[in-house]
Amino acid sequence: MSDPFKIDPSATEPRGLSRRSFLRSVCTAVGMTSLASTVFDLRRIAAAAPLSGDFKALVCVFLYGGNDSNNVLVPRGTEYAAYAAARRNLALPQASLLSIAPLSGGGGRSWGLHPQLTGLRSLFNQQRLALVANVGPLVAPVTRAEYDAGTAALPPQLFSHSDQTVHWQTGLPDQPVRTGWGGRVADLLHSLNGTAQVSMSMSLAGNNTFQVGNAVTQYQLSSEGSIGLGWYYDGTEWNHPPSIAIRRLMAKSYGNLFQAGYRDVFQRALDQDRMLSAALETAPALQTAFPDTDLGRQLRMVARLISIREALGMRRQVYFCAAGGYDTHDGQISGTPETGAHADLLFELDGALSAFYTATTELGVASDVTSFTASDFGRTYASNGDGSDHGWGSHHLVLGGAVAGGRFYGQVPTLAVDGPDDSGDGRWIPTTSVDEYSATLARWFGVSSTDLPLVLPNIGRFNTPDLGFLG
Amino acid sequence: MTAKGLRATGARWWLLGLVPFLWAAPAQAAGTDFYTASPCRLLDTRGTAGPLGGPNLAAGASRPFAVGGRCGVSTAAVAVAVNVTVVPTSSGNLTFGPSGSPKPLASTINFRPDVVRANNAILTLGAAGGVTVYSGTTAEVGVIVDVFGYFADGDTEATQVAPPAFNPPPGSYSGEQSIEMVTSTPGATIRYTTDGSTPSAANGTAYSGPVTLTGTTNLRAIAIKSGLANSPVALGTYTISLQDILLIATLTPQSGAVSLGTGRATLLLAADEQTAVLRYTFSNLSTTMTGAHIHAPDGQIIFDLDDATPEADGSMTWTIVAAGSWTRPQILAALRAGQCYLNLHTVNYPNGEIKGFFRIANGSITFTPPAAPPPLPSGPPTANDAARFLTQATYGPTPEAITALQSQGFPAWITAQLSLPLTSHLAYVDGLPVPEDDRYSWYAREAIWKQAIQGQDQLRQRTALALSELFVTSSEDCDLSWAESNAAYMDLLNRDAFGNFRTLLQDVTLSPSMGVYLDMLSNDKEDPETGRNPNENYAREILQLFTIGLYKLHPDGTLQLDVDGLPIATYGQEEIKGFAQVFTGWTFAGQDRSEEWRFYWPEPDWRQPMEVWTEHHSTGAKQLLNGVVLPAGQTPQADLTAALDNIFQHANVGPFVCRHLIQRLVTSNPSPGYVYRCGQSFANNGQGVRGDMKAVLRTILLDWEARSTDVLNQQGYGKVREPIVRFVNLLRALKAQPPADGRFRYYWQASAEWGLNQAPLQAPTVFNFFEPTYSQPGAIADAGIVAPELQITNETSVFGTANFLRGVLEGYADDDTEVTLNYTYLTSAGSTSVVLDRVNLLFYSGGMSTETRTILADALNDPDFPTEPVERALTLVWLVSLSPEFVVQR
Repeated sequence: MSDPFKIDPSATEPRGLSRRSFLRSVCTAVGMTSLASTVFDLRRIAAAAPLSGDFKALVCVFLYGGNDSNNVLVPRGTEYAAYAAARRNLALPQASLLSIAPLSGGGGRSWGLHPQLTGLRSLFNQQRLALVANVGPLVAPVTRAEYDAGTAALPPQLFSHSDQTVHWQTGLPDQPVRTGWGGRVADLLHSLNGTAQVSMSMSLAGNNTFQVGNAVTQYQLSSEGSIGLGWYYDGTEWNHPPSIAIRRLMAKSYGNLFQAGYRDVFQRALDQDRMLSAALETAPALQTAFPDTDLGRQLRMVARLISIREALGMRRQVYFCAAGGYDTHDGQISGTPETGAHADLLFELDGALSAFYTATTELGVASDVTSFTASDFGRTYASNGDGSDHGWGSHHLVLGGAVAGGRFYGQVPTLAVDGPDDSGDGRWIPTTSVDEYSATLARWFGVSSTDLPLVLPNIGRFNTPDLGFLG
Repeated sequence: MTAKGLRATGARWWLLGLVPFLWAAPAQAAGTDFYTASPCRLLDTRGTAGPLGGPNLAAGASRPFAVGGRCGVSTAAVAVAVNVTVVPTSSGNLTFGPSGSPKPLASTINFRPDVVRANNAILTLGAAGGVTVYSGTTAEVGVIVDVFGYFADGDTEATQVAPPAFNPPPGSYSGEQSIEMVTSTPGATIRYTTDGSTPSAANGTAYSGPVTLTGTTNLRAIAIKSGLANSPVALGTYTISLQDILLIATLTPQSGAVSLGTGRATLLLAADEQTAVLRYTFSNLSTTMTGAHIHAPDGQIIFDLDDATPEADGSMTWTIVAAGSWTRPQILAALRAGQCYLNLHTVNYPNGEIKGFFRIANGSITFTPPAAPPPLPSGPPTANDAARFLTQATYGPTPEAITALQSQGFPAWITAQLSLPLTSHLAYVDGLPVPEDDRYSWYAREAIWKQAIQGQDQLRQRTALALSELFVTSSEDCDLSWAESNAAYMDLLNRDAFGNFRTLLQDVTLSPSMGVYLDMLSNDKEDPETGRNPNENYAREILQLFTIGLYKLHPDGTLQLDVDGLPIATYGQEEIKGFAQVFTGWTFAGQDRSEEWRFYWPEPDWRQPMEVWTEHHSTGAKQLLNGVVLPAGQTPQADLTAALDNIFQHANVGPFVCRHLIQRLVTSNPSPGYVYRCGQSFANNGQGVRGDMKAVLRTILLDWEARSTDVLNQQGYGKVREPIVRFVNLLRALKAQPPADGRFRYYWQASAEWGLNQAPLQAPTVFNFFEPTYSQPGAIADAGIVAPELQITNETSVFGTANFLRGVLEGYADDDTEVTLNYTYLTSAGSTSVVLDRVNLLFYSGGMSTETRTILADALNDPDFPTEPVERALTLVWLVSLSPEFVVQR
């Protein structure tokens, strides 16, 4: 166990992040000024002029539990034998692998994807999907020698789900921080959304740290739409006294500042729910078929929300979706390696992401939407007999029309237990940091290089703040 | 005119009314010449403080003051002719004597009280040119000494005047300087220039007193005496760099204002005195601010903030110009004298609610205890008073508890609560018909809910919850996802809630749950070979989050400021390292010591305090707070005791912990007075004991700020009830009964979409569910107040909570079980008016507004409102649970 490395013991917010830095954004924070409650007029939605200027959306797909990406990207040629020997009963059969030939980054070697990733494989071949190799939380670049010596500064609690999830979502492993990098991006850019009435950060998968910002709070929806207030009727067609009472209670003014503050939130919730529901009803039906899986339903709702972006007044949006169950300590495979728990998960991932990409082309925003995976960690290269255990660095996928796909980015680790990239049992020491991965996404999204340290304060410690997968 | 001294050529005793001083014969006798000087003040004790100024001479005191070289008195002078004036407050006398010699027997001037008197005197100078005045009075006396001439040896050998000397000597100075020029040649005059030209008898300014330099100057001077050659030109280069001056004002309520408000302002006066930069913060005013001005001593406005535009960073630039009848120099003088003040005016207090005088920051820590609050009215509590008290001290009032409390009174209620027995969460979990391997953390929550809903020891329940949000551990950490670890931790807080804080600190430190959560468990001493150091996580959080915080506090919880107006850090990296070294060598109790690796891979024991392995404890010296260093080689237990004592004794602990407890129980923005009174009871419970939680809780709940109804209408008073507390409020009010097995199965409240966005021992991070300093942007932030609980109140959670509570009110619990709620108190009311009275008492502590009452009454009276009695009551309570006036307690 190594020790956390703290830079500034007296800081509760990371160095470089100060209220002043966000001053211009905070003053115009959406939903944060005391808006007088107004009934949202449907006619205003229809009459709203289409927004000029570009639109961009980031979609984070978080794989909770730690994805065994060693079976996502597999060496297919002469190195397959070593893979099979190391992974034993976890190894996928050579013939089952979906061959891919990266235009760069493959090191001249032969590669294949997991057999369930059929849709993503074809998107890789269309150069819409990129693979970023061996990404993980780092405090600073570290070599195996430094790791073994115990002298390196490392993210605290490696191999702990909750800690590593936080490090992935905050992008700041060596300091106590409350905000996520997605929240910090939103804080910086939300003014692009002008007077949009709903948060630019939307979560389809509940509370998450990724979208926590200082000014912008995440708005959580279910894949059926906004949560909605039960036992509440928003219309005027028939008389529902409790609903009338609620509206009157929230329309009333309060002298006490706390009462007014709570009332503001509730009133906004009523307005946003009404507006979102109305706007979603005006959304054209999506032609693209989505698989009826949990992730499929989440991404379908994301597509629908993107389709009403003008009604919502959005030019920048950050979405958060998630799939759980990736902690395949046991039951990772069953029968053949192409089936089993991990295979089912990848099947769901492949179907949902592929459909989502198709939907973005249907909506004409394929180049404006970039999806990316993230996960607590990878898993051990070696098998534990029934599955794999917590790892560290893992490969991730970036998908979208703006992606310079069909390539590998970063550096595939030497796939050898006890090799130069191994911290033990095939837990790869990351060769690309979460910081660099996130910075590349943030820059495409619109964060300038001067503002980048506000989003990722440690970015200066790493060599490649722009990995290049977004042109 | 220079008067020749009395020379051997003859006596001119008529000069100056002196006693004739006759030389008997010429030639041989040595004497002094007398030289006049421009009348000049040597000493004035009524003036600004300083060696040649104030304060007045105290009774029986003495004060030396310099004479030679000042006011044009030659350094060669042996005596001076002076006028001494006294401003006495009692009768007495003053004696003057040469500094360095015994006090003379003869007094110089005698006086009666309150009559200003003056006397001439000739004062002999001490060897270094000083004189000492001795007070022979019984009270302070003002002393003024003016010189108009001096006696010095004439040097008949000299042919040239000695050059002038400068005091202070040439060099670099920050801030303007007053330069005295003096020559050792008696009777010489000095002329000087600052424009670079050469002074002479015809050029330059005649020196008549100290010259003020406000910028870099080449000072040139010569001394002239007729009959002698002019002195060489003396050149002194003074490099003067002017500095900005920082003034600080602490804003406190004006007398007569019932205000919880507080504030602080800094004013940075530019070196050239043309502008000043103002920054100010304020918090918790009674009503909206209507104006802010800086006032001259007589109340005239000299800077109107309302007309000024703030800079991008929030500061305001004051261009200092004449205002009203005040000239610029007068304003500047008053400012420097600490006589100008910032006044914040509000709706309730148009003449000003809080104000503070700007004083030059000099780095000294000045603290004035806040004024005591007015007395509380006497008499038994009303029903509303009792309901309000129970809202603060329990998980919520019931009709019976309100009535009982009215007869018992608050102090007796507290006393009774403090001695109630406690109930074990561990015993509850152990007794569950659930396999051990499946006893996950939600079963511990089940135990907590049961005590919260049905426990008699309500004050302990609320206190333990508050402590769990200070000393945070969370089942969100996968290693703490076992009910056993959570239940053991909650038992610890229950046990120590009414004990001493020092005990609590020790028990939490050695709690295995805390050890796992913040990495103290199996924390190993440093390894010089690899360079690995002990884990600092617990060391950092125990200081930053649990006990003292980042900055030094006054006893009232306000920040101490240094000479630059900045807060002062309580610790640095060295202290963190020191504490981290203290917290080494501890792991789960009961390990087999013969297996060395057990220190790193222990068998969990969540129920016992951690035990130490001495060989894993750091043995070096350890830096602690306030400069304390633990010597090397102490036992781990001795180190731990000393370290926890060191923290416990820090002056911050009282105000820090008090503020947290007040925020959890009573109000989010306690006034400095409230924090001070609580902190004082922490420091000393009245019997000389520090850290007595009983005393602290008593103070918090019985304080004016918790009990007075005068604060109810302050716009920033009160707090948003935590979702956990709101939830149990409803269950207690409706006498919730679990199913036959006695279990309240509420498991999944941490979700925002489907729950409360909060659940006991399930904080997302060690920073708790919300931060003590969270301020909702908008009117709350503008008012300078905090609203921690609003940090977990968002558009999703308000609906999630509303939906969840509806299910609760209908009797639903998890695992398809039912909880029975009793709506009789409302269904038996008989009329809309009575039911709303009861709702007002039970849920609003009497604070329901007429508008809210009307809204609810209209709903009840609407024919389309549910008619079935229980459904009516349930729907009404649901509406109440959403209403802002219930969500916020005051």
